[in-house]
Amino acid sequence: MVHHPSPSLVHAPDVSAADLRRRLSITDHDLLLVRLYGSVIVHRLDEFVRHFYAWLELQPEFSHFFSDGERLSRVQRQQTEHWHDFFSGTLDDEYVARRRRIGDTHARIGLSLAAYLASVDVSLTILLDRMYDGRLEKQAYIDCQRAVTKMIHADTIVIVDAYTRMTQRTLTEQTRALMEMSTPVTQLWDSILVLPVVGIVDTPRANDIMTSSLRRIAETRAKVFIIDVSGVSVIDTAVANHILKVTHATRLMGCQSVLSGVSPIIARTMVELGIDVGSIETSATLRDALERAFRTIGVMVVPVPGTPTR
Amino acid sequence: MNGTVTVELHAEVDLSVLMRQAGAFLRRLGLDAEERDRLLTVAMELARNILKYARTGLVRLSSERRREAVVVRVEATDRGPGIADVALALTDRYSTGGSLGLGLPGVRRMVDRMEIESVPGSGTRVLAERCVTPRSGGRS
Amino acid sequence: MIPVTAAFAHLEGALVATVLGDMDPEGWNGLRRSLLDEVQHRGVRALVVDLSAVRVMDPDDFEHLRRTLKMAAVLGAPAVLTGVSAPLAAALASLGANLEGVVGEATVERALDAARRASS
Repeated sequence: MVHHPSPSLVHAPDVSAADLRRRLSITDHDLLLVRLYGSVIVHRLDEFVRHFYAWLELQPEFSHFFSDGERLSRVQRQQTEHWHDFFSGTLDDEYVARRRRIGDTHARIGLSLAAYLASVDVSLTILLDRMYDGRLEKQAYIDCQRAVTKMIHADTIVIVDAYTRMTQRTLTEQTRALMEMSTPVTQLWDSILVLPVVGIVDTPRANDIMTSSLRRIAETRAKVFIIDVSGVSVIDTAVANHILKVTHATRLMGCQSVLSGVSPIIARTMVELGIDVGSIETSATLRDALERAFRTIGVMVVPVPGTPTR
Repeated sequence: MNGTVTVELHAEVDLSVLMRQAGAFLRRLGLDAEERDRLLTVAMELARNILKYARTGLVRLSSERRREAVVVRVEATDRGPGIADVALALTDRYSTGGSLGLGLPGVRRMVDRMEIESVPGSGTRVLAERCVTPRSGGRS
Repeated sequence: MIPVTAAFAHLEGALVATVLGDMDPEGWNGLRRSLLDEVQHRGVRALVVDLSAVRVMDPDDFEHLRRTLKMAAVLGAPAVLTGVSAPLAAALASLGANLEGVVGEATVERALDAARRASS
């Protein structure tokens, strides 16, 4: 049996509205207060925009991001919409999704998180101090301030999450780009090629491995192709299938493939996954594979007589 | 408190995110390399299935201490087409995706318990559990 | 009438069949029949099929060729491919063609050697 409540088959986002409510203890009453404060200021949001852009113009990023007036007015319009949304006092998953899109956009255009957080702080000051007209009771005003701040924090959590995700994505994309740049099929000896595989084999990389290996085999008329996987910790069926395809393809071109660096752990995993290890020639170390390759091409490596041995 | 790790899958790039985050999570649990790699393989299998059949979804790793042992859970959820015949999908060499189709039965062999809930047309949830004993150094 | 799809050269009990270019399924079928014919009636002991003029091949056509080579082997003529280009090999493997048991060599000489070795 399952040991925890079985989740429905709904695709839950990482930060959900429920998460945010729990984390920041945002109650329905808080949302009501946000709506109440909204009624004080939403009809004067043009004022907010004025204050905000007076500040923004002094920021170093301003000229970089708002060089054309059309974009500026579009962003101002979106911002007004955003605050309307905010002060409607609804914190549900759709709201979170809209916030995440804003975060994505900011991250994508390359606005720094520091600049973003500074703008949040300024917005808070404008909304709670400058635009406040003193019409609420003192305690009500204090409670509203607290509720609005909580909501702002909720926004910030979502946005920071979006930034983190974007950064991580960029980072992995760059790493992959680096790996892709080098599928280093190296000629180790006449007729012997070796390819060290590192990291994760995804579709573009798998295709890259296929084409560069076969191209090199055609160029060098290699007879043995060693695929060294000692730098890979996980061989799942997708990777194994691909390696199988490569070995079959090289065989068509007169080149025999050997999978080297297969640790006992990987060997066991492959067997458990049901991969037909028998159809791939494997060896535990690159050294073993090389020895076998030398035998295949009829080369013997012998010590030079008279060389002192260690 | 070991928490959980959740990785959203939208594209193959996310596989490396999963590898890194799940790897760190399993290290925090104090598992040895063999156990880590085994559970990572399970996570990768399920993640690739999601990308292949449902395009997007989630893989979540969590753990629960049971006396000296730790139960590690790998859970994969998607809102994809679902599996029409779960029993058939657990048969070796069955595939609808043009590959050897070894994923699910293989995963089942690698874990102690596996559970599949699937509703054709609305999604699939696969839960794989393995009970492991962390090496003493990794506990905290 | 079998269209001319390949040039056959007999060399001391070995047959080298050079496919003349890309073919439709009809062509591959024709080649299949004539290959098995030659093997059966001319006492071929080793078979080499040269694909260097072939740029593209459908996985189904390849499957037929694979079976033909297998049959040739059963009839006493182990078969070896040659001239498979890197793009052709990559395409066949990626498209999921069954390549198991099919052996190629980089040159006609090597292929002849390999086929003769397998035959003895």
